[in-house]
Amino acid sequence: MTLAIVGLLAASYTGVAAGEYNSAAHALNVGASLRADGMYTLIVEATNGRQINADDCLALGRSPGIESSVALAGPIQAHLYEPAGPLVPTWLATGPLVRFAASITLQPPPHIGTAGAVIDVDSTLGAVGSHRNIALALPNSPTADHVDAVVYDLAALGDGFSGNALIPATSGSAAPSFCMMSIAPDAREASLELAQRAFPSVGGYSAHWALSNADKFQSGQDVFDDRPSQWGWVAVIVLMVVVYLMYLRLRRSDLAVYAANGMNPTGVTFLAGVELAIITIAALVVAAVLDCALVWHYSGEGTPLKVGEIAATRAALGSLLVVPLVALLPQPSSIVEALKDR
Amino acid sequence: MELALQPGDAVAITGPSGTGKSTLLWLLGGLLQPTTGAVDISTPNPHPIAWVLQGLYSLSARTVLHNTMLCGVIDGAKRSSIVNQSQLALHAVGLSEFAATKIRALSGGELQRVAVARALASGRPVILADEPTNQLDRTNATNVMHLLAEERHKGRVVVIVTHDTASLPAGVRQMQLTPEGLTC
Repeated sequence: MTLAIVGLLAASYTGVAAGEYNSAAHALNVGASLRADGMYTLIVEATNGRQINADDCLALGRSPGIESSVALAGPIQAHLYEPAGPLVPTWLATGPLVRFAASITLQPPPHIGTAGAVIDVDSTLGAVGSHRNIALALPNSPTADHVDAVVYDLAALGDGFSGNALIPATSGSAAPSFCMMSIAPDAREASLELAQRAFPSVGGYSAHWALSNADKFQSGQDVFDDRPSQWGWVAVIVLMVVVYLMYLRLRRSDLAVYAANGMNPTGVTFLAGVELAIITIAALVVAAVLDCALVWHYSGEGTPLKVGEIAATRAALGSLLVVPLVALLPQPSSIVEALKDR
Repeated sequence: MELALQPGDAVAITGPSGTGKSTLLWLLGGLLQPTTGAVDISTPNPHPIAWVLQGLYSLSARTVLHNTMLCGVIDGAKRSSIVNQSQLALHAVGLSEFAATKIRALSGGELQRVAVARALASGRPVILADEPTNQLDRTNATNVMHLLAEERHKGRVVVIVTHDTASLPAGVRQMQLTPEGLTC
């Protein structure tokens, strides 16, 4: 019986930690998915024949809450491999386009010595592989220039960027018509206001998120903040109290034997508390071993492991704290009744 | 009723079922509180009562020896002394070979003898025994009654509630409890 209770308690502690690990991993996935869909990509578009000042766009990229920005012009049709090669829609980017593309997909930017191109995963080149040297021939160019290229998922820039390529703008390129910004998750509103001040709508600019109706989605942080598992430790403590009371109910007649043979009520209470504490500590040891397995399981997924450890620690400390409270609950008024309760 | 017992007294309380013999014993031992009247046990010992209860109450997960040592442990007696007294008591009731056996493995009669051994080993000044032989064969019943009665020679008070008057040794004062009261 005691072993079963220890197992139940250990499973509860581990369950609390697992719930938190799982919630954190889920929230991370939600956040990454929303980012990939463009929730944190802010687009300022020039309308009515207006143009984007590339310097203003890049200056916005250095503002608090804005991780990176590029000004895009295009698209143009560039030939792959050679001047007569297959065409791919290509945007001319002013700014750190590789770092920008990396920030919207949360992928680490590769070390590229020269200005590189960014190829979407859905383009002909993207399917071949990432970070390779390709030849692109711009319109009217007699030759194809070789550039280092990395492949990213550019879905965060909007549906129209599927299959596109981004390449560095050269002097004399067409004027930018878009300013793309990668925004920190907690700076969406402030960044939108900042962008609208820099490029006001009365001036012919339109600022919007790459993901339509982005505001109706819960961010990864919101998903994490609203997770039910954060209260798992409270549920475990309630369960502990019930289990402790059941245990004391089973031990009632044995405790009454001590009382009948002269042990005073304080001694009986202390004895009950010690038994509960030993059971709890044994369960904690088992749970610690199980938690190590959980940490090992989740450690490769970028999950913030502290959430599970904090929850399990709260549950454990709470369980230990309620031990004396449960043990102090009123003892049976009649030892005779308790003795007969077998 | 009024009952006064002195050290060295051994009393057997008999009577028809349902007259309250066990209740009287629980009142004497403080397991029940009287609604009127009083029970006064004058002894410096903070735990004067050693019980042999009818319900075979023991610590089910512990060994026979641990159960026999229980009163001494609660009284804070020296461990070696408790062990020695307990082993002697178990030997007296014929259970010395069961000392290391878990209590749950014993029969009802053996449990009853463990309870008697616990009372003998306790050294407490008052032994209250409720039907201590009702699950024993004649030989063991006679032996248990003899052992309990002999404790009066050590200055202890022994009160036995029983129907088994045939096993009572000489020298044990018999009293009968009836609805009218306690009579000699």
